[in-house]
Amino acid sequence: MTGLLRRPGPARGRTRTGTADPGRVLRRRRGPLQLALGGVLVVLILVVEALILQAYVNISRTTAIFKDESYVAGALVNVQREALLLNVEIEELPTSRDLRGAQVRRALLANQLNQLRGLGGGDAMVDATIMGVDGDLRLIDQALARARPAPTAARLRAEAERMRPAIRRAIVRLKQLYDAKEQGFFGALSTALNTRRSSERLLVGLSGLVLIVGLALALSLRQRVRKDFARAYQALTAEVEERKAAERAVRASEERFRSLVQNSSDVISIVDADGGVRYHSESIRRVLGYDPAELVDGDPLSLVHPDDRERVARFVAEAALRPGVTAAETWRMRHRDGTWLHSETVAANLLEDPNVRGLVLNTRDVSDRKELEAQLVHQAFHDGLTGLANRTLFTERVELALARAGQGELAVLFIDLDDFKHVNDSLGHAAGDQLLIAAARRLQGCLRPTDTAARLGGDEFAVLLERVTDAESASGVAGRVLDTLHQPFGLNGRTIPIKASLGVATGQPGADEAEELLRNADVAMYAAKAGGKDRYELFHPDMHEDMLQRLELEAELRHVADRDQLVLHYQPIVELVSGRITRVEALVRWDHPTKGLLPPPAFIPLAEEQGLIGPIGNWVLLQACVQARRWQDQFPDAPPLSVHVNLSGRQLEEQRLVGEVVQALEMSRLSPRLLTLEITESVLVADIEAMSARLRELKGLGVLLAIDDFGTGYSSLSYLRRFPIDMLKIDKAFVDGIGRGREDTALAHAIVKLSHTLQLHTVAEGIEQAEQAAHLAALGCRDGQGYLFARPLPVGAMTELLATSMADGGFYLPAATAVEAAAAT
Amino acid sequence: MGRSIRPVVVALVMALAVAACGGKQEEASQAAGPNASSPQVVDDGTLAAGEEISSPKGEVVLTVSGDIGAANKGKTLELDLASLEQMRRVRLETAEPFLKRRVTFEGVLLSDLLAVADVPDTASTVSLTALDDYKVDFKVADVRSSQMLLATKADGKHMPVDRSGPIRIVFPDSSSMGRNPDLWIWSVASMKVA
Repeated sequence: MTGLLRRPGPARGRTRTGTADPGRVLRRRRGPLQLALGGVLVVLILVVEALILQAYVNISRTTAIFKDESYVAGALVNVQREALLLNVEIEELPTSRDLRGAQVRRALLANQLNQLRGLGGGDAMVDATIMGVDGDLRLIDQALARARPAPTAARLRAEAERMRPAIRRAIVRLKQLYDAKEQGFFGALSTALNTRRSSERLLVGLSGLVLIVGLALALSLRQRVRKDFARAYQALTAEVEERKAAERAVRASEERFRSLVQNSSDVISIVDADGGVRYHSESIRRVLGYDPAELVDGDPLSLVHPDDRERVARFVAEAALRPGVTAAETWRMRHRDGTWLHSETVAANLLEDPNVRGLVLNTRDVSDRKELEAQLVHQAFHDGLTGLANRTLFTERVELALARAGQGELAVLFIDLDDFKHVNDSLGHAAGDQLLIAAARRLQGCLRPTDTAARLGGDEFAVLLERVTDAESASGVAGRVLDTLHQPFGLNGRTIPIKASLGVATGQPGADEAEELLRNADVAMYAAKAGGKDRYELFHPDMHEDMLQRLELEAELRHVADRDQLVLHYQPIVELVSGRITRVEALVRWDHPTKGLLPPPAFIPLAEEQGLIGPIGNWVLLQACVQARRWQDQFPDAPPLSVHVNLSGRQLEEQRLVGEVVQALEMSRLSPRLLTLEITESVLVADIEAMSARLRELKGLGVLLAIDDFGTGYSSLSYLRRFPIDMLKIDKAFVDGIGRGREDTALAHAIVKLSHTLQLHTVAEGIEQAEQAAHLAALGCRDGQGYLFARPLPVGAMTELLATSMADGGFYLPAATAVEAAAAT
Repeated sequence: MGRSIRPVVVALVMALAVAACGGKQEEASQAAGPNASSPQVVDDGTLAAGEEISSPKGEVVLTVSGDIGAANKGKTLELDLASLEQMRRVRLETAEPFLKRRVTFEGVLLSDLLAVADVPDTASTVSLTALDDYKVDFKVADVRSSQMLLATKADGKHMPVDRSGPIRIVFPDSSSMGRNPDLWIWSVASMKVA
């Protein structure tokens, strides 16, 4: 209307002249004036008509846009939901093994994508997102296809791992598109309403203008009032008709709008400025379970969660103050059945709109989305198997604790289960998982609610202790953790204790870095492993140095067998009564290029841990057999020497050990009964059934079996009867006690007697004094070994000793005389 | 003068006529087209009401439960595509609201299916649930009057899940319910009668 009035032009100028004295003008220049007036009128009416049409087109177009946008918004909600559900399906795939379910879910997602393509196709952003998601889905299809032929748990786990980034990427793409489109949707809503309002004003204004022009025409033609009035009336009637048509159009558009609102899955509510509810759309029945009529005129806050009410009241009050559409706000609402759901609401302020005079609230149930969001966040920060925090969350907590100044010290515990790989390999991954879950549960049982337990991956756990007074109390927790883990754990009908190595590092808030603290705890944990496992260590700066050395040693150890850096030393075993060398024990040394000769404790545990014991053990076995055979050939007159070789627990677990022994015997041409394999007591306790079978196999080859360091390990003696043992080697600790006091001597006596009872051959280790030898001989112990007779000797020295002691068809040591002398006294 | 006013009046009348026609055309395109088709029977089928329905051999696409007289598994009726297509088959060309084009569907009238499942006259509601848990309730009376179709084929082809299949509800152009796209439930998996 204003646009029309501002329109300049000669035609209107003349009209005004005409209205000043239309009658005279008409009379005087009837022909040309009427023509001009007619022209002006036609132009005016055409302009008005064009504007009416434009207003009408505007209304229909914005309504159509609004409708399209709302469908796209709906399709986007659906496609997001399917994507989130597919994500859940994939996450659960390793446990559910429901490949078909995942495929159906994936097809449903594809269908929603097709719908979205149909509704929103052509929009560059929608097309780009669909193309991106299609790409992600292809990766998922490939993974599903790979899993289909053999859907084992391991395979599904691996493929689910590959699918996870693809589906997450798809979810993020869709969420971004939704966020961008959501604004478009509410933008379209407010544009549609604004356009309709201004178009209505325009129509009213235009009709007024037409009325004025009509009247002016009537006045200007007063001489022919009747005729012209009839025409003016006709024009007016037509105008009124036209107005009615326009109104009908507006009403039609309003009806479309209302039907849209009613069919929308969102709840549309209209609230008065004073807060009373005036209207709820039909959809509230589905969303909240109420009949729209029973809520109208009620307090809108009555359905809101009490904790959220203040916020909601503020939201409504603020929306009433400002025109336009608010940002989305979420809160909880009560369903008629008493459950709570998360709603997301947008308010449009239409208080000024004469048709509404209220706030239009658009409320949507976003419980599914909230729940899935919460689930995704939980998954991102927690370990799926045990539910403990994951590395990301743990590191964050440590950083947070360090940033919180003035709260006392804090401690980080690193826990690594000992020999977990063994459980996994022998009992299967499912059993391994059960063990991890049990360990996690026990770990949490040891902690205060303020502490954090985490699984860092594999069999590695960590604990954050906040506000520890000193390192002592952290050690207390460490000890408690070990004790709790020790409680036997039933698994597949077996009872196994959980053992772990634990490293403790303490930090000062404000002074230490999280990364350093974690590394220190890790280093301390490695120190505990290196120190013999099943223990804890407090971090000490020296450990870094130790660790470095260890790593270096570890690298060198990898090549020790091929680089000829291993040597064997031999220590004679002597018949106590005669002083004759009957056996030798082969002892491995590492001839380290810079560190010199290293004894077994310096590198064997490391080799066992790193899985390098196989090649070393095999080398020792073969060398010892070859050397024994060589001595046999060198001293054909003496009875052949038996050679003793130590076996580690790890070697005994290996299936190939038996084959290696056979090979060593064949290659050296050594008689099996001249080979004695020494094993420690602790090895036997680990897995009685498997060990018993392995020992029987070895025994079947004809070799002898000896228990090394007897008396230091487990007190149960039952295994002595269960295993095919030939010989006991009495530990130096008992030998040392002989002659020192009555009790110690009695202990040594008891052990020798026990082995007699079991008809076992006895060897006393670590004999240093002639008296000890004499005592043992008197007790009935057959053989002895120790510095009294000889230290472990290199091959050359040993051969020399044999050569010099060769007499009377045997190797007699001069020290034998000392034994006899002591025995005599 | 009479000559000069005439074009004005003529122009006014013409303009109004154009505006009125514009409105009418708009309404016409929203409403059902004048030559909207109705379901045509393709094949009377072998499975009619009152006959025994054998257990499905193929994959079950629809599980019917609730207030039904015919059942083939416990108290439920399981149907595969083959058994559905043994019933009276109809063809329907209609405007698909999501694809926004005309599609020729083939399938079973939902009212026929109710008869085969031996749904008593006392039943009032049919609840359909889709694979994605979307749910729509129909009144039994509406099912009978609207001629809604449980479609198994679109343009002569079976529909996979990612093309809104394997079965979906479609409406003839003439049905007023069909104008609400929310009722066009696709990937229907189960039906409960109450």
